[in-house]
Amino acid sequence: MSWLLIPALILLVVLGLRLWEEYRIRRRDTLEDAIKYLYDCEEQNRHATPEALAGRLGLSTRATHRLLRRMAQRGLIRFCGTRVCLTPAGKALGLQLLRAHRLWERYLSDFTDVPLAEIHRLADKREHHLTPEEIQALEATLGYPRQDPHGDPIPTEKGETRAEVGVPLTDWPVGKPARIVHVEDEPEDLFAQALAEGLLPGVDVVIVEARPEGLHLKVDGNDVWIASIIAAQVHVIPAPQQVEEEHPPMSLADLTLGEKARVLGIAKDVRGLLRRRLLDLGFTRGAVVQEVLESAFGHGDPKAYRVRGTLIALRREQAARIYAEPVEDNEE
Amino acid sequence: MARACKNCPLYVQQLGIDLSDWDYLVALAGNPNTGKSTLFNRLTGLKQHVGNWPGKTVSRAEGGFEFNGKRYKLVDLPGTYSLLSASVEEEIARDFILFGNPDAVIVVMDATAIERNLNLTLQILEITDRVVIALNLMDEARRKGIHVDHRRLARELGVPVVPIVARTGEGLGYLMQALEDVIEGRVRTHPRRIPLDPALEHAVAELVPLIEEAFPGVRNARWIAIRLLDGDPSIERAVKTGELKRLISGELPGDFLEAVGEQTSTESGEEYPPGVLILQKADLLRMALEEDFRDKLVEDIYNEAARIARLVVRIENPEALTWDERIDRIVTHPVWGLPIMLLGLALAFWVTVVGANYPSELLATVLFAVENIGSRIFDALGMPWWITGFLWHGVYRGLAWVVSVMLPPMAIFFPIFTTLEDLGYLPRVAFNMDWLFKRVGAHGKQALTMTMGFGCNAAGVIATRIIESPRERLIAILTNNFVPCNGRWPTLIMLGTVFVASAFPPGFAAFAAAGSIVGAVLVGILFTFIVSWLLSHTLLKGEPSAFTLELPPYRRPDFKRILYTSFIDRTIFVLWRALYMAAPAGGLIWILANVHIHGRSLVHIIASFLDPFGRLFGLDGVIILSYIVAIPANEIVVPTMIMAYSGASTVMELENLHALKELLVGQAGWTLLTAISLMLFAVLHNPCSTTILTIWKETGSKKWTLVGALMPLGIAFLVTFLVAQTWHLLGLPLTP
Ligand SMILES: Nc1nc2c(ncn2[C@@H]2O[C@H](COP(=O)(O)OP(=O)(O)OP(=O)(O)O)[C@@H](O)[C@H]2O)c(=O)[nH]1
Ligand SMILES: [Mg+2]
Repeated sequence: MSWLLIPALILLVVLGLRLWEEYRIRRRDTLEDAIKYLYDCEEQNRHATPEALAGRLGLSTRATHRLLRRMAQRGLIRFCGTRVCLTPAGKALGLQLLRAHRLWERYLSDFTDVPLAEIHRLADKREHHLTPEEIQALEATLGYPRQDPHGDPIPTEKGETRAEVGVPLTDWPVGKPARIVHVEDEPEDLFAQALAEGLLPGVDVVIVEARPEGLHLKVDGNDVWIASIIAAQVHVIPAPQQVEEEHPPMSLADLTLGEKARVLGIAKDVRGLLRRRLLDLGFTRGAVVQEVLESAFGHGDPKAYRVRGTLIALRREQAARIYAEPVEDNEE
Repeated sequence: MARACKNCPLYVQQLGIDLSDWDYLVALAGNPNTGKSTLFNRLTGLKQHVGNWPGKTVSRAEGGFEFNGKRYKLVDLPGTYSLLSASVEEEIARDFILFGNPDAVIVVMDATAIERNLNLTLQILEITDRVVIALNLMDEARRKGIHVDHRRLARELGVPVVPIVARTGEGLGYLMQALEDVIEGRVRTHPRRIPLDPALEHAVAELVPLIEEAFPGVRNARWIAIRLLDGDPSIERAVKTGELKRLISGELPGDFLEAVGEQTSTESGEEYPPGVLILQKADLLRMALEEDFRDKLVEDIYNEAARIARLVVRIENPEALTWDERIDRIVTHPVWGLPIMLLGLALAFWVTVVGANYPSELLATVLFAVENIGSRIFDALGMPWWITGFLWHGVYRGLAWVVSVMLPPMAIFFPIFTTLEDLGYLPRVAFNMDWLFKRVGAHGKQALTMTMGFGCNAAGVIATRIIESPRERLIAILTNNFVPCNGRWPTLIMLGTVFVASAFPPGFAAFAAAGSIVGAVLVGILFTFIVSWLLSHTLLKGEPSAFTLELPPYRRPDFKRILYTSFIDRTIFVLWRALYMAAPAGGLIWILANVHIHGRSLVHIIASFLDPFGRLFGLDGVIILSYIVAIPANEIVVPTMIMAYSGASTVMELENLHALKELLVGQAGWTLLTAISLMLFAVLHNPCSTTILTIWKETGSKKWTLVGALMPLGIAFLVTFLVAQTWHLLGLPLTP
């Protein structure tokens, strides 16, 4: 039976290595989870005690103390009375983790077919061990999203949520509804003038006309003219839109063999990779599309469409997200 | 253009890969499947692979040619639909156009799909103004009655447009002339710029001066501004670190992409302040844009493309267009589609197996006769027996085996496969089979990469790049190994003929052999589906996924080229593998068989050590040893086994099946179970080292490489273990 020993030995070594690795990862994960919890508490002005932390992480008191000591050694936390406070370094790590978590959530919902209910759990696993550069690259790939799929804001690198910063009104395009988030209170006379015109945080405005010397605004239905220097004091974000996406009656999936349709647009919830791909292939608003083939074996799934002179096959779920309207055969 | 000739590339001197002292650097860009590689081959005399499905070329290729006394370096880029999406291929193409500082870009357009092709063309014109357009596939356009007014197109785009047929070389002279004129400034181009949405235009206008100030000499600030607003990680990195400066000055090579990618992990975080400022500004400006501004951008480009296409394209004969559709109706027909596909596949295999038989035997006879003669000459010269043995019965025999067994099937299978590929049939297979792949969470295009895998798994793994959806691509990579490649056929064929066929009357023997081989292939396909399902529901949960599949128009295959690539290319490939993999293995096994310790050869010692382990799986020690020796190349499994069994003493006539059976059953004690287990093992076991290396290159991840290598091995052991133990439990017969 000597031959059995060698594979068994190899197996043992491999297993041992694996366990050690697992242990190290766990240690770091718990530490990061603890930081995340503490960061959360500070954000919401709650007190974080070692007991609460132990409860949250499911650790014994001893283990929690060991963990806290490790964190203190690394300069991530301080003890302020009975509470645990984050040091600036700890805060920075907390912010990074929060960003990573929400960006991953956004990624999972935009690029993959993971159901919304599972997104949080998967993101919890993936948010660890990312360098700031990797987080930035992820953010860029996602096109700088403002919110995660649950509607929570995704903070910028500096810890500001985009919604809080806003853009100076002078950089805002004409005609796009905006909501004021911030008015500079320095210098005071400009601040007073802005207030006098009714430009307060929370108010919605639209730029009607932009001239070098000033802006013509609609503020709550009233026409207002302000000078550029005042406009520069006012920071806005896109006004939240209440209008639900109305469901056009027809999508490409509804076409029958040989039928043509004009594309109205791709559903809003199709994002990321797939949206880019569909656009690049020419499924843009106004494109005339004809269904020319159906897969017999898949009971009409996928179908092939002639779009902009080539034949592209799409699966049903995707075709159903491209809204269209019927066109007459003699058109186009 | 008076100097150019119409039909011949008279002035073009092909330089192959000779890239010394080139004067001009030229890139070939364009949509997938428009004939870039065909044009590249035509100009350089090289043999890039071409095929009628989008995404055939997946990385850059370089070659040279000479025209009018000037030497050109030509770069064949992968085809892309757009430069806005930042997929791998797009980045390769985009980075080269942006930062490779080419003296000119030839945009290859498909004359039969102008509107689609204009999308990319307009984007390239946005980046660079040194562009010449090669309006390719003019023969197809004429056949389909599509008339393209190329002069009008040139006026609209502001750059020269030359109609060509890359396959025959028609129009190449003009193309070269136009290229030279543009490079040397004799023709001034005024490329059309896409009118942007006002809000976007505003944001771009704010950024451009900043970019121009921070990076003096930048030629395409507008494009960079658009990409920054859109959020393009690699461009952002280049701006933030100031890398862009060095790129513009040409200090960094055009293939900096890989370099940048590697750096990020170790990056010291060095920043270029003006660059950081630009990013912050872009951040602000982006907020002011509609969230779907990219939709608008693409829409604007396509609207422009549609407008131009309406002006320049006239369809004279709409009837001709419907031909493709008619064929499509048949090959995707509910009743005929499947039989056509299966018959085609079965036919391809049958022709390969039967057709390869005779040439294989002939080659074997000749090559082994040479071995006899050679070793006798050595003996006559009085060489020590071990030199003769090592060189002739070791190294040479390994080589001869691989050549005689591998070359004929390859030479037959590849022309058939390439013809189907050139015809445009393969994407239809993907379309037909997608419903099955969809069920297991995979992509229909996996059918294509699997077919490639029949030739060579490494090639199959590379081909997975056509699957744009990362999750489905990983699935295709990790499961490609379950289709037996050419190197594993010899094992299957040998088992089929020696064990299965001999059990049937002569009339049925061939069918039975083919049937058992098809059976083994089906087992492999079955596991492809099972494992795909498992992967997509476990490990690969949460990897990105999307599905689109282009069905290219049917084209007449280019038989001359097919025969050329199949014979020359494949011969070289097989010979090379034989030389590098089989010859050393042959030598090694000869040594193992001939070095004796205490009267037992090394093979004997190792094999008997491994034997109990092998028995667990219905195999034996020699088989396990052979698979260890054959990790670099599966082709040498059978020769290794035979050499190990027969030892150095017997000089065996390999082409004699009875002798082989005698050896395996009589001497080595093989049973029916051994044959079955070995067949399963051959189909399921780990990929060869080349494939593993390819997986590593393609995924760039140690984790997936490990999974790709060990998972099949685990499955192979598990399956054979179960089969063997059940066999013993049920007390099934062991005699073959
Ligand atoms: N009839 C005809 N067929 C052509 C011509 N040029 C190329 N082809 C065929 O078109 C198909 C695609 O050619 P490739 O050269 O592989 O195309 P590519 O642009 O390199 O494609 P990717 O590498 O996928 O981007 C092949 O089947 C060629 O044989 C031509 O001028 N006439
Ligand atoms: Mg190519």
